[in-house]
Amino acid sequence: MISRRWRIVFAVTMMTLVTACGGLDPGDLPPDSTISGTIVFAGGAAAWPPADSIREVRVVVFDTVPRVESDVIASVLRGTALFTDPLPQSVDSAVYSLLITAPPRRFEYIVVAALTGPNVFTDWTMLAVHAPVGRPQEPIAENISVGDQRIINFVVRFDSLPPQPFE
Amino acid sequence: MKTISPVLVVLFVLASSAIVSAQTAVINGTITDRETGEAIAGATIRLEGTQLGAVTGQKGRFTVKSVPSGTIRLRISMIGYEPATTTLIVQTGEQKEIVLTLLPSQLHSAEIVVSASKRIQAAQDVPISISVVNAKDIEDRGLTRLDDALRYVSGISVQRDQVSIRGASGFAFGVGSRVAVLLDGFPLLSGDNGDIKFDVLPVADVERIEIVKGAGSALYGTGALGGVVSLVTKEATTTPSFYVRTYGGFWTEPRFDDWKWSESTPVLSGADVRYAQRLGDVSVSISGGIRNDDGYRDYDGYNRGFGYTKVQWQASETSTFTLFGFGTSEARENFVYWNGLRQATFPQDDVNRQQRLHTSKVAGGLHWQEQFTSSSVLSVRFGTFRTHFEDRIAGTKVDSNTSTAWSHNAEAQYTTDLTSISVLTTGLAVRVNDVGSDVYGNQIQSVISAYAQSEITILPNLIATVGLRADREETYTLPSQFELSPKAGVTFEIDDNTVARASVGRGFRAATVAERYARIRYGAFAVAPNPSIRPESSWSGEIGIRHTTHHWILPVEIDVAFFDNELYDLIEPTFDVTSSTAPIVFTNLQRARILGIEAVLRSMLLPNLGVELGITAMSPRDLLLNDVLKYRSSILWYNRFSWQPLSWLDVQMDYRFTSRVERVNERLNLFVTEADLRVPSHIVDARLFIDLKPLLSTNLRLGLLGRNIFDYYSTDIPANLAPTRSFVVQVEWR
Repeated sequence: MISRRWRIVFAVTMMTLVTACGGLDPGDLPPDSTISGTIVFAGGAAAWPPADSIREVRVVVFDTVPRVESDVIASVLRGTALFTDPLPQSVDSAVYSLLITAPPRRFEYIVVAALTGPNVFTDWTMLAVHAPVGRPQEPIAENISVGDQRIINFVVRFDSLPPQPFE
Repeated sequence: MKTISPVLVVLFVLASSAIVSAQTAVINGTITDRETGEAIAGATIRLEGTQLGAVTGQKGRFTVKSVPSGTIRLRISMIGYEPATTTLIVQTGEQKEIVLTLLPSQLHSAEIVVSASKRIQAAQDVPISISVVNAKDIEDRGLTRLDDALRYVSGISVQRDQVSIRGASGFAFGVGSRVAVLLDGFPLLSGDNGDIKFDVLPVADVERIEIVKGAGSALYGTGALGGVVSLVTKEATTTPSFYVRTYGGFWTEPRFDDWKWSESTPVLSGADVRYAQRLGDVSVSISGGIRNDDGYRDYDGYNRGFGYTKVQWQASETSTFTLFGFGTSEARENFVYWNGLRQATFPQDDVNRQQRLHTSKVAGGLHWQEQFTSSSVLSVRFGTFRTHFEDRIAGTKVDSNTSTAWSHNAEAQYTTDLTSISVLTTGLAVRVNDVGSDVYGNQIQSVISAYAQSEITILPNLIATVGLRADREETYTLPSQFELSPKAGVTFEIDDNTVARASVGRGFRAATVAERYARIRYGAFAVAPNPSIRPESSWSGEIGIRHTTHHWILPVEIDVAFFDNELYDLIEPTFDVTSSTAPIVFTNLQRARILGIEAVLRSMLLPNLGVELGITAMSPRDLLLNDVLKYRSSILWYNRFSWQPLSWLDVQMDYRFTSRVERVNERLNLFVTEADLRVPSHIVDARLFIDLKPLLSTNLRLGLLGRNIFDYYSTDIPANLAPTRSFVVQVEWR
């Protein structure tokens, strides 16, 4: 017959074995929330301005509309804006994908932005805004829920840039 | 105003104390095992009511000099044996020879400690909770880092190099330890970050680690807000001691395909060597080792070498000089945050994988101890601790992240009997941190301190302790800060097996240079300076009781404590949302309270099956927000089992549970994917040791060690997977 002490040992051991397996599991995660799509540059690669006038192009999503140029980088550093890695330049079109951290979130201003000068804090120009066709002054806000995989496409017209948000 | 030079004080003490040194006796003795008759090495002998004591050598021999004439009481303790006491009558000039025997016991009780009052005491006389990890505990578990030893101490959580005692610390990006760390009395927090450098501590040389739980600033000053971790190194004996250990192992493959980051199996290996011997009046200890680890994550490996030496000269019957030095050098890949849980073993995409973090730490010091009488001891220490880190790419230094910090320390301490029932400990201390850094600028921080503590034996079974320390901290051009840290405590021996205790004390921590002046990008975050931080402080109180019995169904030692930590002006990293870039700044934010209960139980379930259980239940509250305090677990629980079915076979299993951290900084999520993910932690370590001495007639031991053997996945700091499963084979020879 098993003694009472051995039963205690056995019970504690089994409890330990049961609880100590598992933990974090990426399979428990909801699918990623993303915003992705295609940017078409009207006029193709030939329509791009001279190479030294655009240093980089990114898709940027803002919680709120930036009102001064320095808000672009400041919003990213504050965590209230996200941007993609730099996109290819002098191309007909480019595909982008942006992982949305900490969903659900609401983005009031979604743009294709270009760094047009040496000052990363101030030299930003919006090339295209997520807005109804023909009404770039009315940006569309997007609510991104957990697992949302939203597709947003842009058309950039270098000869007809949207209104800049800066006051 | 005229001031008295500390040198004059020391000279006065020297002159006044030498008068009484001749009226003493010497006790020589041998301590053996009562059942086997074998000599016991490492037993501690203490003369009650004095500062005198000794440790037995390999042949169980000990000598206590400068023993006062009259009736004296010796207290003997040794891990694995029941403590014993004996009373002797000694005459002036007598050379007394005694033989003592100890009865084996599997309960680890009645340790001797030095950290609670900066002098030798029985643990049961200490009015505050104190835990001891002995060399045997460290060796039995095959530990290669000393922070691993702390993971199985009740009330302690270890997150990388950051130690939290009873919830005093949360997640603070690794800077500003709220636990003071000392090696043989020398402070060992870095001068810039004020953090703990566990990798520099000599594992093979540590005799024991004492952990004082609760504010300890009344003796230790800044940094001892949450407690004190004090390491005591081994003493060399006349019998040469030679120790070699080597180990090698591997990290197992992750369960999830997305986490597999290496084509080959990542391995870890290392070696330690130690030699120690006492030759006449001089004893020498030399040790060193290497560590190599590929890591369990991509871009997380390191190579490290370290060394330690201690030379002790018994200049006279009453004078001892100890010189020590140690250092370490490490090159490591620098995994900061994961790339989301789906890629938990990969760093963030923007990491430059060619970059390595190179660190070096060097320390040296001198300790002079003069025993004027049996009860009067002067102890003078000087030391310095240099830390340096820099980033390198292909061996070339990168300028953006470099810091060199010197922390110079000096302390003079005098302990004496004020009366036949009271002991007074007084001291003066100076610490200067000199930092040159492109991250923190060039800064100088100084702390000047004076302290006094008295222990009064009111009744034979009632000891009261009162103490006070004054610290003046100044950093460069900032206004100086003045802190007063009092303490009071009492122990009451209810009967031979039961001791009750109560204490209250204040702790404080001056802001570190890093917290005040850091201007750095840390992973995804920008950190901005805030020179105006005030010191943070705490009041901690506890009531506890310890009981040991061999008369119940099972032999049991149990210690229970209720504690209350009141924390003021806690310095915490926070996002400064008033700034356009919302950088992280360290600022005085919180008023917090941590109420809790802690229980430790040790017993023998079977004659060869020991168990140890520690549980700490806490309620950490942020009183300003009336919410749970961030980055604290409310339950810390560990179990340890040791089974010795055969004399040459030892099987051990440890289980550690940490409850889920209830609250974190949600803004981290904006920068690091899934930075708020956290689960309870259930970690099981298992070990099997085979003593090969019966087979090979040499002191060879083979160990098989499994860490996190069920491969439980959790985070230990935000966005960082805690160590996964590894297996190691270890061979030791002594």
